[in-house]
Amino acid sequence: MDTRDATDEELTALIAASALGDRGAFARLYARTSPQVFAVLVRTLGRREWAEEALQDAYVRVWQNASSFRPAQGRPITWIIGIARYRAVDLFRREQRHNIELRVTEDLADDGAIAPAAAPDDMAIGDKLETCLRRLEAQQRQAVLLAYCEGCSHRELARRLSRPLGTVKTWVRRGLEKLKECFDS
Amino acid sequence: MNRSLPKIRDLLAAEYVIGTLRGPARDRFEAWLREDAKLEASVRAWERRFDLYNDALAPLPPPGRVWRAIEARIANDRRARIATDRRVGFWRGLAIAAVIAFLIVLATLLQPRWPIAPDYVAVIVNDKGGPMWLVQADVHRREVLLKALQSASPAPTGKSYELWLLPGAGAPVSMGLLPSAAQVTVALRDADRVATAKGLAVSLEPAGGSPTGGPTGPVVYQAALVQSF
Repeated sequence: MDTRDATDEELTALIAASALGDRGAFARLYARTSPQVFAVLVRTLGRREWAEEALQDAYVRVWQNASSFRPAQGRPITWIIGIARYRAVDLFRREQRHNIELRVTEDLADDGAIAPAAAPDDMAIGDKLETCLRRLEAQQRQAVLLAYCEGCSHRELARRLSRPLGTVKTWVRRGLEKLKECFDS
Repeated sequence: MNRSLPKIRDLLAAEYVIGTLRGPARDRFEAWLREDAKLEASVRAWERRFDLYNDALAPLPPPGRVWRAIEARIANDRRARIATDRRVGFWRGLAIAAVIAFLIVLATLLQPRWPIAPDYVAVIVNDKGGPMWLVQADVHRREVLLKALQSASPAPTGKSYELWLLPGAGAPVSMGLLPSAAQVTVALRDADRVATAKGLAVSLEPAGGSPTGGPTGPVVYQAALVQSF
């Protein structure tokens, strides 16, 4: 827990310095966080060149919006990944990804392979996520995870899962509702 | 979408986070998010819940060209970044206007050969006081500089922000489309009406600007036009 908290504190300080226009601090922030963010973008977008574009835009936004980061609301890396993922969604909108073949990361519906192995620090929340995901029906779980991990829109989910649009929309919504109930319990 | 129901709000936040909220609904949601702290807390909570799926990924160092591109893009960012909250941003917005006005006066005094033209300045701020655009009208040269500031945001998809001069009498006169980043200089129409104008207004128009020549969308911001000397 200590390592993770110390890292978060350092990253928070780098973001704060970036907000004041310290380019050196921003360069260090990039060096420390970009490999993680890039990995997320490559997974989400499925194409390296798009991931690079989204990464570039995301960090320009991190620089511009550094003063709006609030440590009380979440971890620095989560904040940066959020900015990057929302940039990726914007990029999809522009690039119209319908026609490219999406790869399947893993069989997400398979009960044996729900959550990736968690680092020890993440065990508490990781256990919770895994427990809650197990309570979903397989199709709901698959729809939610494909959306989150591979950036699938409702339309892409429908195509990939060979189900009508309305059906996958319901899977996603019910899945999220159940997750929420489980997290709140 | 009824966003007053907590359950619906939270579901929208979840769909926003996992990325299935798209298109105009996503734009609307982002607009709410900017003004609704509770909704933002919902989004942060959902981000945390899915964090594990990002933490577990093996890090992948991006190629060096990405950082070089980022560096080049922020190199043009000449803002004095002092503000840590939006109220400071508001005062900075006023300060920027004051500094620009002062520089114009100074330039004129130091170079008396320059034609002395009345110039007008306005800073358009959002409802939280964040400076969005600087407007500088050069009546003599019949030009307007429209510069995006810290809080400038792109218009929702399929829309543009259009700036209007509100003359002392008569219909609003378009001063051009406001940029979401950087700055543009556009020709100033009806330059002789600037001096007596009541102020400026920004309306939300279809992409590319009003189809009729007059404002057709809602007026989202207004600002006073200040003579700089």
